[in-house]
Amino acid sequence: MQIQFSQQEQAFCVQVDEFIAQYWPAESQSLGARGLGQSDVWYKAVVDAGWSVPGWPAEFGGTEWSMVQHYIWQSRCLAVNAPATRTFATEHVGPLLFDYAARAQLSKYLPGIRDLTQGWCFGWKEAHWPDLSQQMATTLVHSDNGKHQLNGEKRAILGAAAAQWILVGFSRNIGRGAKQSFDQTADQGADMEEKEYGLCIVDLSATGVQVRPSNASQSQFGAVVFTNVVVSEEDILPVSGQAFIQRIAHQSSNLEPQVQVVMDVTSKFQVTAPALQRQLSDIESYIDQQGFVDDEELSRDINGLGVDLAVLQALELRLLAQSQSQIQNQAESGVKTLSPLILQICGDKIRAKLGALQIASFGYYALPDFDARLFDNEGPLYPQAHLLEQNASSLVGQGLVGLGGGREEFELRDVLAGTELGLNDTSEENR
Amino acid sequence: MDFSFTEEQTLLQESIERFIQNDYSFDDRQKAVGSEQGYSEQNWQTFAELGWLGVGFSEADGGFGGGAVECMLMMEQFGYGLVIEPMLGTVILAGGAIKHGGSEALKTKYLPSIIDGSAQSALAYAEPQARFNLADVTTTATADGDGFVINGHKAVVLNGPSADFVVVSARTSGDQRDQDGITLFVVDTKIAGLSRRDYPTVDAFRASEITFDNVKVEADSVVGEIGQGFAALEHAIDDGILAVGAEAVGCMEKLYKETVEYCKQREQFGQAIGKFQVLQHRMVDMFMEHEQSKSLMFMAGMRIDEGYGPEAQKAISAFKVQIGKSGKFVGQNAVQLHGGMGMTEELSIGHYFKRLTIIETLFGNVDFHLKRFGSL
Repeated sequence: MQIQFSQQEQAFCVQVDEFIAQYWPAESQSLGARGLGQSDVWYKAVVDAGWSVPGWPAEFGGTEWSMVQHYIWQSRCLAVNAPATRTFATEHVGPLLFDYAARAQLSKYLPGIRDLTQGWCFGWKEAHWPDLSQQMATTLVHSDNGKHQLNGEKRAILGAAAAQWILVGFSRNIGRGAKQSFDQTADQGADMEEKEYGLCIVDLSATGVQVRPSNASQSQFGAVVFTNVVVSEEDILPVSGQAFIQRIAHQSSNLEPQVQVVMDVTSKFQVTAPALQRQLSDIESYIDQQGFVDDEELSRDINGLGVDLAVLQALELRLLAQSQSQIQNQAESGVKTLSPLILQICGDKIRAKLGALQIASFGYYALPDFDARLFDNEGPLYPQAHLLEQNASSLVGQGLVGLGGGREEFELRDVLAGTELGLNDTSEENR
Repeated sequence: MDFSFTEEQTLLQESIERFIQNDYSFDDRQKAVGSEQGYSEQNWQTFAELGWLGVGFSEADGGFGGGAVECMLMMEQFGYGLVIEPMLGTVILAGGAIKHGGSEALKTKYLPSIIDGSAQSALAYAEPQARFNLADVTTTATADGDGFVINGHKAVVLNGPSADFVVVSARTSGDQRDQDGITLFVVDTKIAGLSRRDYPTVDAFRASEITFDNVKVEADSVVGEIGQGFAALEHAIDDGILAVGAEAVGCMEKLYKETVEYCKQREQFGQAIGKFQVLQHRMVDMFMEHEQSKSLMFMAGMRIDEGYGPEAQKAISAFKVQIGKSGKFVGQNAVQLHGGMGMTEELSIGHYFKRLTIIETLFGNVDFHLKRFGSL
């Protein structure tokens, strides 16, 4: 057992640190520098270095890094608050495209994702979600003019408001025959209109597309409504069949195994120990500068979160080391690998605690609704605001997301009860 | 970065696991607890023969040449089996203090008898007024000719009743809470002026109050430099924290696994209670607390082996905080999910919980180590 990186990995650490020092220097790491063009410099440097999509296959621009290299790159970027290069487009849309899109479609769309210039979102969930036995209501109908018309509504779409493109799941009739369902165990034999499911690409600025952002929880989720949206044949992905449906429905990914593990470590919201440690350090600085250091409650909470983060980091490194070892050995080592779900649950808890601690440190300045933007022309409302990444009102929103996350945490525990403890009967009758 | 074990570490782990499984049943353990010594001398000699008492000592000192990670793996298995033999008091604490602070002559004099199982020892460091502050020492050692005269009272000396010699902290200079001015001495427990009051602890181990009344010791009984004993004491205590923490991880593993098995068998309302989602979630939380503690255990062990210093101390304190919280959670839920029988003497569950409760307090509780973590 040893905690140090290998010499080769340490050399990569130096390379990454030098890159960050050059393109995301210390003065850029404060929030005030964001939006002043430094982000663009960073994105361009990352793209020029060929590091924008490290997890993709080499033929599409990937770096073929080891799992530890991925972790080093991600953790160091998060630790200095560098603009995120792992986007929904790079992590989810890209892999779907290079698995399912035609060559012409790849040539058309992958460069924009790889260059970090185009935002994408993915429309799959509908009102009846997550009942997989239901049919998809968003339909694609062939028109006489050789084009297609898309109608329907997709919900809970991450990043819809900021994206330029959307990948949309649809159903369409292809004659009479056996019913096709997302649920393979459902009745397949009924004689009815036969449907197939597919994916198409839609420009979110196209006529008939309406994006409805949701601000209820300060999250980036929204809905997109399609009303007679014209879709050309070349924007329909040549996919069909149950395997594709199951993959999408279960949100699995076909990324390289090492990248998949890093994604598990960093989780879907990029919650990692380095990023959370940075947030905690910000709060400590704020408390120091405000002179609250003698508040024993705050000190105790800070120390407690420090320990929680030490646990999270230990979990991350343990999972990373175990997974790397398994890949290197090309076989099961006999040691049961840590479940990434534990990291996700721990990360969510720490995130919620950090939000609560930050609100506590704000005191009365937790009350104003900063997002109402009443004070734009008058400067910051409270002192040292620049020290903190998020203001109080956005943290209240984060708390709402946490409640939503609680539902997910509930489900994650069900999974762990089955996979780790053999208590796998979680059927409805027992709930 | 590597979290895997070497072949030797795996062999050590497996050999202890086999011993616990085949030769250390809960009934056997309880018989040993009820004996006069409070542990099995036969088991102790077996540990010596198998080399386990020398795991943490260098080959030059006659040991196995292992480090913190080896001790951690051993103590984790001891925790799983709820081993009552005084590995902590004799080997980790007293042996550790001599290992970290003692001269070659002192190591040669005392360590072989610890490693071959012929001597028992203890570390007498705590005092009634000190709570968890290692530097709060009122016991005095006054120069007297070529030697020293020790006066004072040491509290809750683990394994004190069986110890042939104790390593004792005494103040040779400075004020009551100064780190400088503390000297460690090795003292024979049969020496004139040393008296003991022995008692069992809540977790069935044994301890003593030891009074030193004009106890005369020679100069060669000093461990290391006069007035500079705090560093060795702190190092030995941090080794002790890693050891009992690993033991707690083993206890937690046993508890969550026993609880899961029980809940799969125990039926209520016409079905196994393990099918109820609310109980499943509790067991998942127990499992997660164990995994979190185990992860920090690895980090703490590796940090100490990397080099003892502030980073290692910080990792140790984080680990102690975590096992304090996790141990309480896992122990309480194991008892609750077992119902009333979880509290009985006949079932091991309650005994594991008692051990976890003692470990939470031993060497500083959650609050103490939260502050220490924050100060490092």
